[in-house]
Amino acid sequence: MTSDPVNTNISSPTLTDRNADESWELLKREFNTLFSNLKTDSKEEGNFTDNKGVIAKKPIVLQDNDDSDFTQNQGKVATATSTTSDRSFKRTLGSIEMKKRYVKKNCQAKFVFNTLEGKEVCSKILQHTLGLLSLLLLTRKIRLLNFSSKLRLVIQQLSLFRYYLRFGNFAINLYKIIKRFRWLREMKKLHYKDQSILFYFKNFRFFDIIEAFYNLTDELILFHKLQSMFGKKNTSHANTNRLMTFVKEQHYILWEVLNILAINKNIEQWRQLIRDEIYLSIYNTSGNAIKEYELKYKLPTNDKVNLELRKNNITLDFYKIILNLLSNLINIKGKRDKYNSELAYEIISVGSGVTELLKLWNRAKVTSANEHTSAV
Amino acid sequence: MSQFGTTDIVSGSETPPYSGASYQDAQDDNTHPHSSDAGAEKFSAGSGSESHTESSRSDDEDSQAKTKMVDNITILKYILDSLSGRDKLAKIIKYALDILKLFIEKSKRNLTVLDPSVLTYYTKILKNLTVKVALRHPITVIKVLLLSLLRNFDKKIDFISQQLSTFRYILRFGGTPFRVCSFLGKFNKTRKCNFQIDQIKKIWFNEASLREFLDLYYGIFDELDLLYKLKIWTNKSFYSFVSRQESLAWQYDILLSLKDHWLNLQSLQKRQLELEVQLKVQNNALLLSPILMHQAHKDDGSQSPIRKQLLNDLNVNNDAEVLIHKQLKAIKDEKTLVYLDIARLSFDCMANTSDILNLKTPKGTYAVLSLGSGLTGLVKLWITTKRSLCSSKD
Repeated sequence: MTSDPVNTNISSPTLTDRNADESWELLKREFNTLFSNLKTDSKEEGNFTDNKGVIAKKPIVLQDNDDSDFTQNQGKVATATSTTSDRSFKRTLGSIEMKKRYVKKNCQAKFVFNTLEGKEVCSKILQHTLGLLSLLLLTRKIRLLNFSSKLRLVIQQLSLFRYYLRFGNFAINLYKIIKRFRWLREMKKLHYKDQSILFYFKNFRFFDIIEAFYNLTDELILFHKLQSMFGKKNTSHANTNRLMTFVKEQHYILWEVLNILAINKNIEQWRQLIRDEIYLSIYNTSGNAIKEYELKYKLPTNDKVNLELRKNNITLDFYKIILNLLSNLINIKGKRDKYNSELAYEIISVGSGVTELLKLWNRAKVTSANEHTSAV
Repeated sequence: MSQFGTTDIVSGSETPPYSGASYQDAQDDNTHPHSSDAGAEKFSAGSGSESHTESSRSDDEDSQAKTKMVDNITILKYILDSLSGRDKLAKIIKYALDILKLFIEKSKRNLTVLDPSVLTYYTKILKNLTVKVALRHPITVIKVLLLSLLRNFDKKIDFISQQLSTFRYILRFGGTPFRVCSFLGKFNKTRKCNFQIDQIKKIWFNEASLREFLDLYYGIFDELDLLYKLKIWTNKSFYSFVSRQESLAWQYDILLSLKDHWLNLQSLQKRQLELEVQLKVQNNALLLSPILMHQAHKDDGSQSPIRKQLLNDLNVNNDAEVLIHKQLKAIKDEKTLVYLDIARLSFDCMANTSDILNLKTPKGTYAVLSLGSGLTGLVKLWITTKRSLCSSKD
């Protein structure tokens, strides 16, 4: 072993045996250092060895001491109690199952609530439930002026909150439409010079344009609401009112059109689902027969549970759209100033919100199940 | 019945057709102080670590990620469809409006210092404005128009700012029941283990429990604050207590997060240094290897198989070096995020300190600091969103 510096100049013309041995020794030492480093890393970072790919995958995060999972702990409790008596074991198992279910539901609720859609749906349900409550208070002639004004304020803020949640989509829609238009213009210049203006109409999705207009009216209504909240005196201006009435009418009509388009899509989904169900039943009855169709027809889900879940979602979607169409009809007809219509509107809206919440719940169930599977 | 006419203002339209609201939001606990940065923080932390992990996946995936381009508008849409993104944007708009309001107030004060009725006078002029006058003196008319707008503009800005504040409060609202559930779970665990001191220590005396407690503490006061704003309760003395506790809870949370990020930064720097040393060692070894290879060719028969293998690995396989470079890049990216987080938390800390200690700061200090916090938060969110979109398969 020598500590002399080694000549590492590779262009050196003369290489003696001694030099080569020294280089070899140095290289060995370098390797030892390298491997010892890797070993230290693996010891520090936990449970993997000198697999470099794994080292790279490991995110550098500070681990907390609390490594006890709630569900895991429940499992431990079950094992501990199992040694005492069978009866208590059964009872504990039951309670464990219940608690697991409770934790799972809690997670799902958190999942739903911590999304934009979830927040929107929850605020919708709350808003219309409170609206229903305020209407019922009016009929009962309960003199709770203070309470009613508080309710109105909360309803108003929830309504505004939902508008804020939707705000900003118009700009994005418009940008996308302009981008598409530019692209089409370029395409027309390059390849389709003879095409007429119909070329543009064919290449734009009707849904996108309607959605853009809907978002525009939605944002205009928000501005109007803010303005009317800021100074109620100005709202009585005839021109503004006329304009806003027009904008609102358009808003309701566009929403109705969007719902009709959504129902069209829903029907398509139904058809696909029925096809999948038939395919699955054939698949289950005879495995050989399906081989002929394997290339032609591809089943997106080969699981019956998934199919059931999809069926549930599509059904819920269908109900939601129908309820939306119904409630919006009241708006289009302008019957909201009548008590019964208003009551019906609130009830239908709550129903629509609940169906949407159920749909989100199902989705959360799938997501949490997937997460659980990947974790396992 | 005219009584329903008043409900017109509250007639929210139905649920819009969301296109991109993802369950990634569900990963983040949108329950943070004024800035609700925990949401963003957790969102970005998740994405950040994800990107860190992603960076070292298989080569195929990596090359796919590299080739995938994400449009800015797609990122914006993604941010708008997330709770933390909405919150960040609302925060930025709110504090930008607050700063604008200060400017307007200042210019208004300069105008009215000599004649307090100047704005009213200009408004009167505008009422008698005809096309003829407008055509004759267009610039004067524009000036008068702007001045008359200033009259209400600051009030309007103030109103919108308040509305945005309420929006952010509602956005954070509702997290407390989940936190209470989590706490109840811990209580149950403590009960189950018969209050053994070791178990109690393990369950309660750790950083996660402290953070959970602070989240709950903050969440309760934050939600009480919103209820006061919605006039559900109206006790002013209790409100001052609530608002004080809310600020304190937020400060504790900021300090804890700052500590976490600081430690994270230290560990990242340490790791970076280690990798750089490894790389240097490897490079030196590679420089040495041709000499040894030359020797090896000379006396091929006398070499041990291990030596042959080592030399072969050195010359043929450069994967280790590529891997280290990848890791270094991932660490640098992660460090950028941590720096952004530290900057954001520092802004928040400064703003909140002025609030807690009732420091006499120049007007607009809080708004400027909060705007800084919002912008750094948005930058971080933008980066993490871009990364997650780039690395996503679809």
